[in-house]
Amino acid sequence: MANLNIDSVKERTFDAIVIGSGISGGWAAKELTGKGLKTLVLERGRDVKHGIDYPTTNMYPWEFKHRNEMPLSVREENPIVSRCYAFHEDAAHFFVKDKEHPYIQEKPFDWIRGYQVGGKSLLWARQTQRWSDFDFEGPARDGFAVDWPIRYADIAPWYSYVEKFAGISGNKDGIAELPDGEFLPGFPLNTVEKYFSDHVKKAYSNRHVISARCAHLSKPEPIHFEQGRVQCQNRVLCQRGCPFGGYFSSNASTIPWAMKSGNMTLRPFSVVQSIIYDENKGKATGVRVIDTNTKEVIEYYARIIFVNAAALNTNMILLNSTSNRFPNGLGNDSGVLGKYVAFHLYTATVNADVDGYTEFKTEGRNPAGGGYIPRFRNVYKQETDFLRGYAAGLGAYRSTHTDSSGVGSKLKDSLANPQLGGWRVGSHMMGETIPKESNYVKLDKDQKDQWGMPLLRISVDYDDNDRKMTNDYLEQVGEMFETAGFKNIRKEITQGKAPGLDIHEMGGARMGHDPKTSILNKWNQVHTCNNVFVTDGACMTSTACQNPSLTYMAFTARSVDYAVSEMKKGNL
Amino acid sequence: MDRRVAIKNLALVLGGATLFPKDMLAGSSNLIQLKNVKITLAQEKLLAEVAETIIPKTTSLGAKDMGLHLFVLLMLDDCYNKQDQQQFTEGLKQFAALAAKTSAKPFALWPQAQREALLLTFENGKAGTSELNAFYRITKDKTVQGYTQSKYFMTKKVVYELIPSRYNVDVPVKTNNTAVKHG
Ligand SMILES: Cc1cc2nc3c(=O)[nH]c(=O)nc-3n(C[C@H](O)[C@H](O)[C@H](O)COP(=O)(O)OP(=O)(O)OC[C@H]3O[C@@H](n4cnc5c(N)ncnc54)[C@H](O)[C@@H]3O)c2cc1C
Ligand code: SF4
Repeated sequence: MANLNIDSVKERTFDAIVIGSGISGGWAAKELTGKGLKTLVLERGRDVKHGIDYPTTNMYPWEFKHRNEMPLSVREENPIVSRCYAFHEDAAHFFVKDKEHPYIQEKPFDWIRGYQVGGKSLLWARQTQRWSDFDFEGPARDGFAVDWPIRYADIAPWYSYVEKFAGISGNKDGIAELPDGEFLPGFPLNTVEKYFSDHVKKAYSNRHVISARCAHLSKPEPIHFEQGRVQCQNRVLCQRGCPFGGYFSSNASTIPWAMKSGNMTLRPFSVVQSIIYDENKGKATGVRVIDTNTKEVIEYYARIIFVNAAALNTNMILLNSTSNRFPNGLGNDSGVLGKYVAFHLYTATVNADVDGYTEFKTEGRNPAGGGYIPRFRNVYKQETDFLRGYAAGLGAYRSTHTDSSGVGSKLKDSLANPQLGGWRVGSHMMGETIPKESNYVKLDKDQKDQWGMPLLRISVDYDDNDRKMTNDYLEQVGEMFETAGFKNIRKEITQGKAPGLDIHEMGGARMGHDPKTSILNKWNQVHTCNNVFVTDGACMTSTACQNPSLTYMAFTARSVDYAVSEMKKGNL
Repeated sequence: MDRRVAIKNLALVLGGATLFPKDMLAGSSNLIQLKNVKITLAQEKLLAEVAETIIPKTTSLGAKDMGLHLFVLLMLDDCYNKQDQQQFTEGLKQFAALAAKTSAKPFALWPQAQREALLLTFENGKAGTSELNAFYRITKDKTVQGYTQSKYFMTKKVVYELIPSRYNVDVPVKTNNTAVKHG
């Protein structure tokens, strides 16, 4: 070993190791340290301290050199990340640039990443919905992937647990397909969104338009003040990092909480290359880390390991953790590791103009972004020629119009006098995809990155089910708009959008009952290496159509609880 | 102001200045160093006059007060592709020639109405050569953007709120003019 002189084995030994400090890793850190375990959190990127390392957070539009537009040279050098809607001057420093971390696209896949303490939790759009049994029973009912080893009842208390701490705003809508949670007050629907919600309720028996549920402190509770977070101030500049801690991020919430316990050691600039497996003990004993500054290889040891590097990076680490016992990657006797990768369909939008309601407008900004249409297709029974269904975002806004014709003092006058225009309404699709063996990631045999990690090859594509579902979304939401009387309806399939840009990549190390067809058991524990747990998107057996991160949080808290109780019983 | 210091501070100036020091415009070298686009001193000065024609000083600040032509050049240099840049510089050349042909007086000394009339011929994008139209379109778009996204405009004209601290729905409309506050 290269680093005998640096520190003793004892100093490199912890009770638990967490790989990654994003949404799921932050939760693992908080839960493990809260239960008294000395925990090492390894993060490949730099540290980002809440409130301190948010350089753009209080900047006004005129303070951005290009008024928030990314220069052409940056866009040309980084075509992948440039396709992400949030990649602008105000948040570019929280995104991975294409060149810095290359991967191989066997098929087009836009892999959007955030490598820093907090991961993508700084950047996310904060939409949070629970799954229901219609989702957990999906694979078994519809005959795809493998059966989920859990049901809603197993995870419901853990949703409650994480919601209370994270702070989720929403309304109790009483919809079976989208269970209610522990909510702070929801953000309201505006005049037109409310009209549409009423219309849909009247016109359809099983469709709903509700306020979007999101991880914002609409009305903080004592537990949030205790985290040093205060009420969301409706800035909707969240991707810059929020000085108020108004939205949930690892940086504002779980990481400082874990730090406060005195049990966490946070080590940024540490790429985990692989997990060390000990043949004699039949367990993992630690991890191999590359210090990104010194390129030194260092080993750290612990009794349990939580892998939370974000779905595809977690696959990479497991695939790269080879030993005599596991020549194809840790826990991969079945050969399914890296396969059955799936994502969400963000492939279509419907927009329209709205007549009337011009006596009303809105004031301020809505952090929730508007409304949400829970999945209504194939819920109670199969009713279309494609499997599963989609949810949709829904938002209405009052347009403003500025006359910018002409020159001179007339132009100056009109620029200073923007006028309210009509209302517009828009919706975007969020569809479930079917995990398939042919959608996979694997390690390249030859090419390595500058830290000696093999490059990831990604081979993920749309299929016929996706195309049919996209068309159905256009038809159904188009019809809902039409019957609502909206005008000039524009249905669009988003051209040239590769999988990945949904930023909800999942699977590869799926959960299941059977070690022959899955990697993890119902506790997110590697079937054949029981002190390693995977609680990020890699664990997902199917994708449902809800935004996934709340479910990762709940899985993580539940899994830590199990792991620590097993440790206490002497089973780990 | 020491001209060199002034130029050094240009990035800052472009970011937020409410008042761009006039004497800088009278200098004898270019005020902005561009990476991709080549602009002569005379062209830079002519562009300042064109921008001033689009956003003239009235009872409120004008393009020269705010250095808006430099914002146009900065955006042209960093955010536009080669073809747009070439069209712009060629268009600028043609514009200078056209102005010289129209009157013996330098463009800067024309009355505002005459300057406006010349610019307005390109407003619908049909009259001029493709280069002239591209030059005019880019100059106008970026002058207007630089103006409406300046500190001056966003604090004095149409106020930008960094921290709205509210989201109110069903707000009755009293006037269609939204200049008072952004929604
Ligand atoms: C613009 C945007 C909008 C989004 N909107 C939503 C939304 O509305 N709702 C929702 O639910 N989700 C949303 N997401 C997705 C959400 O951000 C992710 O699902 C979530 O962050 C995943 O959590 P994670 O812990 O798995 O990964 P991350 O948060 O990405 O954290 C993983 C961490 O692991 C680190 N890491 C990776 N590899 C290694 C290694 N080898 N060694 C050490 N550390 C490593 C990374 O640097 C990173 O810090 C959005 C994402 C983006 C970018
Ligand atoms: S909307 Fe709320 S959470 Fe987002 S930046 Fe603003 S105050 Fe912060």
